[in-house]
Amino acid sequence: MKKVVRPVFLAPIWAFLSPTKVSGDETQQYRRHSLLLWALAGLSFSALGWIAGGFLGSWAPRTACAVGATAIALGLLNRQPRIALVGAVSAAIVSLAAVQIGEFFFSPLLAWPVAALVIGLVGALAFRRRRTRIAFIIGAPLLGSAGFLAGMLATFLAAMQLNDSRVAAQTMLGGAVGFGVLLMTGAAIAGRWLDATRAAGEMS
Amino acid sequence: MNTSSSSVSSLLDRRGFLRLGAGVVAAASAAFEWGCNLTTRSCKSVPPNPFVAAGKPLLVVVEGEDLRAMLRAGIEALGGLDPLARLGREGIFRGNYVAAQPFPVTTAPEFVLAVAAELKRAGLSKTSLFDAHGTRLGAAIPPEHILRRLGVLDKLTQGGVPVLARDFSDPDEFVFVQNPAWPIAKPVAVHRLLDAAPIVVSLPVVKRHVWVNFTCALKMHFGSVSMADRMLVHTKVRSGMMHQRLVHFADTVRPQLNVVDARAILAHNGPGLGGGAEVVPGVNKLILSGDMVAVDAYCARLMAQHDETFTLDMVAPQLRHAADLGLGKADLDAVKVVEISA
Repeated sequence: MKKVVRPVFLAPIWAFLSPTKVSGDETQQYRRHSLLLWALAGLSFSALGWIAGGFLGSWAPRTACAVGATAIALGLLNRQPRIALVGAVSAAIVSLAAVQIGEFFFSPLLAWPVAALVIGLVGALAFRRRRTRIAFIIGAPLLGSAGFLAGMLATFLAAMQLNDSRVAAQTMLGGAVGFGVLLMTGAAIAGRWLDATRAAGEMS
Repeated sequence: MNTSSSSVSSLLDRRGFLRLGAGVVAAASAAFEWGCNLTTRSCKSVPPNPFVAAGKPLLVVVEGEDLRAMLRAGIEALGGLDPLARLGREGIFRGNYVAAQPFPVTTAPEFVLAVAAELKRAGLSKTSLFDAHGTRLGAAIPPEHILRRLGVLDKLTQGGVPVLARDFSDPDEFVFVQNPAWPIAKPVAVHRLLDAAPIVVSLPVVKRHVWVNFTCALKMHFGSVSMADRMLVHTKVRSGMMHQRLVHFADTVRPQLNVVDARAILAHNGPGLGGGAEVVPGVNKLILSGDMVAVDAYCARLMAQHDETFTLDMVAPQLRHAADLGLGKADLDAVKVVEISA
């Protein structure tokens, strides 16, 4: 029973994440790896950005480097080096300012949704269709924030399970990784489903 | 040129990028694992307790009402602070600043200044107060917020004792240390400044504690470790792990001198006011010793005298564990207790 129910239940989700196209008389699964690729790029770039930022200082440079690296990943995967550069620089500058403001108002963690919005605004230029751009601009701060919180929570829960403060000390790194993963996955999905004529990852 | 552009384009095609990404993740994971393992070191090594008499740790109890006179008499009975001055020219104070509530919830600023003056007289060129009860990640809870609200920051700065208020969440602030003798075989992130300081002088207050019953010289070192460590322990309160872990936290710092301000104590509940906690004034004692376990053993007796809801059994697990780890003597028969008035 389980074996039957599970695929039926999961099929729509899997179809959404791994869209297929019909080619001739056979159905080909394609772009499946691209979602993984984008998520993986988000993970690795944001994590490395966070770690590299540690060489420059504390929260502010770490945040700036992590969001900047995510913007670079987004631009490079879209084959848009200029957007990568503009996105990285603007996200880094805005996040630095947001950290400074956040130290006096609420929290420097405000930098993450703000930087995600900047990445959304600049990254949207890589999409051709207006609906995709709007969806990405609106979705980016939400996805970035949700990813950041989920990443932090996951890291801390893992630390609790392992009872290891070395892992718990990396809670913010987990947040940065969650930010990159969800933002990039969102960009990939937006590109696939809303920007169909010029899909993300296939731009020139 | 062609070769170069073809290698760039192969790097940027999906397959190339996937490989690159996987490589980067593997490298980052390896670096993370390497960093975690290699940076765990032994707890700092400290010289043996310099305040001993006939082979027994010395514990001086001074009763009186004039703080400076009590302190001076206590230091004299301890044999002076020269042994500390021989360890270095700069000392770091650890106070208890768990909440923005005055003494005896927190260490009184005039007490810190009085001890600083004695250390200066002994030859130390500089003393600073270290505290970590906040983070820059919250605008309302920066590291200095409690010290500022209590007026400690201003009073100490004006009194020539700099305040080192550090972020309890910033991973760059800590070093991971571990003692193989700990039954919980996990490292603890202790503040880098405390790990490196040649002289640490602990300035505890005597309080009840809602979870571990009692807080004084051992428990106060919750403030010496990362917020991550504190939170992990607080999530496992019911397991009894807190009694052991607080000893491990104290083991990471091992102050050379403990000077307890027991002019008043917090009984019935704690570590802050509220929940039935009651300030007991007029205790009028200072306790000085290089042995933090002996200090807690003595102060637990003091608490038992003033709080009918407290018994020595409540603190026995942590004292026994601390003694087993060699942090000091839990049995006061093995300690030379000197009681004086000033």
